[in-house]
Amino acid sequence: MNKLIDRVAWAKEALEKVQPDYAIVWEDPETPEEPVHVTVPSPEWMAMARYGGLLPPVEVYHEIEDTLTADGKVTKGHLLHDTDPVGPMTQEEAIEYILMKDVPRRVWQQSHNRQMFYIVPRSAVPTNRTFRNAWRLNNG
Amino acid sequence: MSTLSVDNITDKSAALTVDATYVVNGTFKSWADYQQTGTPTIDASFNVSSITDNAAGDATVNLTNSMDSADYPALGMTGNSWFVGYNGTARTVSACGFKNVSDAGTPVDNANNAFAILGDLLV
Repeated sequence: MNKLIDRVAWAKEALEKVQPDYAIVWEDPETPEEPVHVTVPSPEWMAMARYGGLLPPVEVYHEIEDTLTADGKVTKGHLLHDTDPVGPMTQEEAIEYILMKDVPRRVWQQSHNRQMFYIVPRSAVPTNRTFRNAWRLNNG
Repeated sequence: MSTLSVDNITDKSAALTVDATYVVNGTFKSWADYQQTGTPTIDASFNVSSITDNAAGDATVNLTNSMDSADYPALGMTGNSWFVGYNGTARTVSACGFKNVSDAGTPVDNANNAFAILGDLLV
């Protein structure tokens, strides 16, 4: 299964879904007026992460993004498929992988005058969404 | 894994034939069914790494296997006669945003949302 999509398809059939224990709550320094974002992994992806040997190193996604052409074409797509996959991850390692993959790098890689993200148990995310667009990070 | 290598696919009566490339190019490359009420949750998906709940009715779907360019069609569905479309952020090779709005144009959360992406995978 050299192609990543083949591994995705295999995992969909062969692995039990794993709902994530954690979520990432974050604010984007480029749009501070927006409410907090909440990122949650898919159970199929989490199953792949926990199983191991299926997902490429997260740095591959960064290199693909950094080498897009001016009109957005991918130039190093082969890295997604040819790079040796990473081993099994714990739920904690997997949520850090998702942070680095699916949350903009400016959120977690650059320094800010306050914390721009937190990894929290999913149960800590409010379920009453009446005032969803007013959610902000509480930096204590 | 074995590979079926054919040019065309024909039904048993031989009345209907379709080019194999039509099947490959016309297949959904990613999809998900997700809730945006209570805690954001993906109930089922294919080729989705995560979902980001951005605001009321506004979500971004992130892909495991990226697309080969940001020029791909995406379809969305939600409940209660509401409408779903792009959320205004640019599509990328690895993410696409959706927004659910009511008849009055107000963003609204829904417990049953679905999307699907067509186009060319990064292979």
